[in-house]
Amino acid sequence: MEYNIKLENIYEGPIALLYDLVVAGKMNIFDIPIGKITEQYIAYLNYLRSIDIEIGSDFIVMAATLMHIKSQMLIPEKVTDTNREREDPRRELIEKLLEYQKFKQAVPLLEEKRRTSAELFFKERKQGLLDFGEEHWIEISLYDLLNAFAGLVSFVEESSFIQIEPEPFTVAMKINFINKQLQNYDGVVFFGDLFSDSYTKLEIVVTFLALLELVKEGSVIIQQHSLFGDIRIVKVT
Amino acid sequence: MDEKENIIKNEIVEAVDSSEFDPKSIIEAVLYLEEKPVSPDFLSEVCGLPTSRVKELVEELRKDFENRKAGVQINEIANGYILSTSRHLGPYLKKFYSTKKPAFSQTTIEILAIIAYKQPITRLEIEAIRGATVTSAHLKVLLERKLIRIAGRKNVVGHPLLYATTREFLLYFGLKDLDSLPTIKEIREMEII
Repeated sequence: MEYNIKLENIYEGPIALLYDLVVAGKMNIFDIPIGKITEQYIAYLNYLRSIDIEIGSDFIVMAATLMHIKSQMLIPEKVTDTNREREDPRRELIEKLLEYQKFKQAVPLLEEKRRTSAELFFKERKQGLLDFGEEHWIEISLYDLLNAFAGLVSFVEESSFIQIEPEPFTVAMKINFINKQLQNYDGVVFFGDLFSDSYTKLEIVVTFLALLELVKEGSVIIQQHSLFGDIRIVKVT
Repeated sequence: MDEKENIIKNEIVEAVDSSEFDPKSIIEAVLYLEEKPVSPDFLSEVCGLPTSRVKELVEELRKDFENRKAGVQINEIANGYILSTSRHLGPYLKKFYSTKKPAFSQTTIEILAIIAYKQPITRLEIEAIRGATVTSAHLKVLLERKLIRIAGRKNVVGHPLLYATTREFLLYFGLKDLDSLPTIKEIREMEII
């Protein structure tokens, strides 16, 4: 008997392939004819190979499992064992297939739900400008902070004249500045506000280094608003 | 002039005091205002009526809409009520509006189904059921769309992340709650050739 399995069905895993073979062959899932399915399974793998498709190791493992089950089924039951029921060597495989079948069946049901609910139109959810609710603030990584910093620096124009001056800012000074800002604003300041008075790249860099220092110390955390992308610095209490 | 104004003001105050408002229209108003599903508890608070009565009124309102072939309908989604356009208008409205519901690949829906029925579940457990790998890209799509969330870590070796569905998931599929997921039919025995 020939089984034509469409080429577009490139199976993601051996269970999916086995399941399709069971369905296509109208086999009883509780009493899988192991010889037949093994034969078809291997035939399919050979077919894949013949059209130059690489076969994943999990498919090979399944082929071995099938053959192992098949060989076990061939061993005659011992007469002495008749009282005890011998465990079906196919059990594990059948359980897996049943579990897989459940979700295979659930997909079209969910798809149906989605289609019916796609017929309904809901009021546009406006993300209110005043919606600065606490739940929208999420903690972010230093990479996000660096990104924000890169954006900030790109705004500052580099002067074409170079003047050499003594360093007017130090990291320690800026740490004090940030701490004072946090104190003034109930422990929460916005990232942009820290730099609003900075006119030179140097000052921005120093302030940023100070901020990194505070993050390293663990005395502040950095959060970003999930809707508006604003970054704020929150003092750890 | 002043007297007249006073009279009007008094009337307003009286009207508010006597709470001579039809609770059904209050419910209608709240449903109109809200963009998220409104819980029966909230409605009961607004109307000053027990939740059971609120549920009856919502049902009446739903029938009212239906009877007069209204342009909107009441849906029971995510343990609350939410207005939407009427189902029968869907095909027509589609010409002018989009539902903004992203479609997912078969594989992604399959993964979502497994998470929905088996939550909370780890990636490895999903893989075991599917008998195929589940890439982080699959999960990322679902996480970004807020259809699933990380529900903690499983207390086994490696402490893998656990995934569960969200309220957004219920909205996406128009489900009342997780119990109203389509029940997976008992496995029918397939015929033997």
